Amino acid sequence: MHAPGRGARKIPQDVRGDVTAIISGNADPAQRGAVLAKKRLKFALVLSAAMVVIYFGFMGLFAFDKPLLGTVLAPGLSLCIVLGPLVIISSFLLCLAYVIWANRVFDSGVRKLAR
Amino acid sequence: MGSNTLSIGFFFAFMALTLAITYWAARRTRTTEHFFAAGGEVTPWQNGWALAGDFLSAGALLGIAGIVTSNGFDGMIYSIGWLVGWPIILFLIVEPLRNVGRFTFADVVAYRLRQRPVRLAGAVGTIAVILFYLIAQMVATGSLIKLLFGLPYIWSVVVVGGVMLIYVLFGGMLATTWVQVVKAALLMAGGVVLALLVLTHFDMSPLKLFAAASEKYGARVLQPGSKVVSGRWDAISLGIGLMFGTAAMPHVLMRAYTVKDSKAARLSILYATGLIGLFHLMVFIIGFGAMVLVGPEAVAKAGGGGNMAAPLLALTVGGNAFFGFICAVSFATMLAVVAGLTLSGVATLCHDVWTNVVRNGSASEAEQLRIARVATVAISILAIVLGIAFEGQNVAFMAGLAFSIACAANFPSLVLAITWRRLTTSAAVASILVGTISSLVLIYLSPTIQVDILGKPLAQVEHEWWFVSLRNPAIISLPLSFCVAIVLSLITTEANADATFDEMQERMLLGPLQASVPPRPRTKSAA
Repeated sequence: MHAPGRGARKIPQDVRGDVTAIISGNADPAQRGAVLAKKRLKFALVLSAAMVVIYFGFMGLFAFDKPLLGTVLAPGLSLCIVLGPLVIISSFLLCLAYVIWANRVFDSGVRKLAR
Repeated sequence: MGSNTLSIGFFFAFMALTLAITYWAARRTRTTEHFFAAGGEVTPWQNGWALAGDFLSAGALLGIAGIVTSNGFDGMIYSIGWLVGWPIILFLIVEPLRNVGRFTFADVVAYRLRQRPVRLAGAVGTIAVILFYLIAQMVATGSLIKLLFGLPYIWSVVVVGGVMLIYVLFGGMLATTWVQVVKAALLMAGGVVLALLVLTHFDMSPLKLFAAASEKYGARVLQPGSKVVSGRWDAISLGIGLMFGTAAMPHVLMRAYTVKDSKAARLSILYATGLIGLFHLMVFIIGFGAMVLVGPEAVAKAGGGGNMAAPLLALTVGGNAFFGFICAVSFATMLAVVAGLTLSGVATLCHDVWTNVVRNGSASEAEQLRIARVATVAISILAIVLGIAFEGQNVAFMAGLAFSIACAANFPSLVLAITWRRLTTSAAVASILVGTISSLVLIYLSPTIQVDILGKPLAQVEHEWWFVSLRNPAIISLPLSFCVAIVLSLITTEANADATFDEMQERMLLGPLQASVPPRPRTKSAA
């Protein structure tokens, strides 16, 4: 699960100054709130994009390359029977990644703000 | 049939339990906060189960199992599409929704904009979604109950409508939530047992099951076909409609308000995603089990368009008692889904249309509750009447239409309201109306209505200039709705919407902290 770490590390150019201010404790709450909100939105967009790519990657194969998706790998096992459940499982794992990130990083940030 | 008596027995046990819950809930439902949001006292686990109960219709068990039995893998296209919308709800929608809104999704869209036009447009989109979905559910329910219990169609529809009315009218969201939880637990239990019983015939190995299926009916059952979803772009369009439609279904979004805060809302979506995903994986096993152990011919002969696959499989692997149980669970499933749908329709009519449009936000609690109850009776009667009126009609497309409208009408305005400062009132209203109308028009001009319903020959209509070959409109209507919203926002300005964006962002983060309702002390932490 590479996503949580990336979302937390990569901070867009325009908020980098604010982050320094937060670390040194100089930012006002509204500014810190904006940084936190941006961080959440960015992480949420990355995960949404991942879901869209996984799902439409699968649906793209279903729509445009049925023979490939129908490749029989072993008796009782074809590529689509592997990939279909994997799409379902990856949806849940992406949700899990978000919830873990939100519970650890985001909530503690909100708690600090609320104080 | 002896199994008939058994299933009716199971069904009465379910009714007795849920009516007892309704009686208990009715005594606690005193305010609109309770009626629409169960007082925000539902725990994440309960809400996760209730979301699964709300969302898993009879189509999820009976319908998909039937498609898998006759077509193999293709049934899974629906299972997957119904699941991938949930992460989108979690990432983009549920936390802002919980923190900014109160009862409906229009609360969030209208927050920075002019209340009346946005709420009216939102109500049009929501009511369209709910009505089409309700008709599809009621008609399916009537014919399935006729098939499972031998009850006449009209009586089936009246019983379902009447019981749903009792749940919602007296017990509001609290009773509806518990009905969903009980139903979801029964459905999951039935699914697990059925899937395990199937696997005992195949050394507990799904692979041996699939191998047996392909030995019997050819490798095509393990491969994607074009009978269930035909057309390349149609498949993509179906995917768009299912994914973003799920993410904007009003009865799903409404559940964000039944928990105490945004963290609880987040957890409940995670649990719901897990439960629904697990259920769909089991249905896949059940469908293949029915294919091998019952046979597609026997399922087709039982009638109901393949819907009898799961019950017949239950009869084969578990005997009469289990058949009765699965039939009763299916009945309970339909009841719970229509109750959830009705409640979200009532919330829109009462909270958006009456309180905020007609009364301009100043209706007393007692008046709102009265209107909510009137709306409940009205929607229930409408559901029964429409259910009877559409008897025997091919309404399967209406469920798809509901998802398409939710996708094109609700999703763009909701996401833009949350993330984009520039969104204006006229843009939001136009986006919702364009999404609704374009979905309706595109479906009308497609083979779904022209060929399947109106019975015109395809060769005749496909050369007409207005003909739309796509059966699923989302690939056109969703981008169209987004474009309308973006273009209109850029050419109009709304000072107030711009000024309140930061305030809304803050509230999305922190929630309604110093809200008018003082938080009640809670002894137990929900998480």
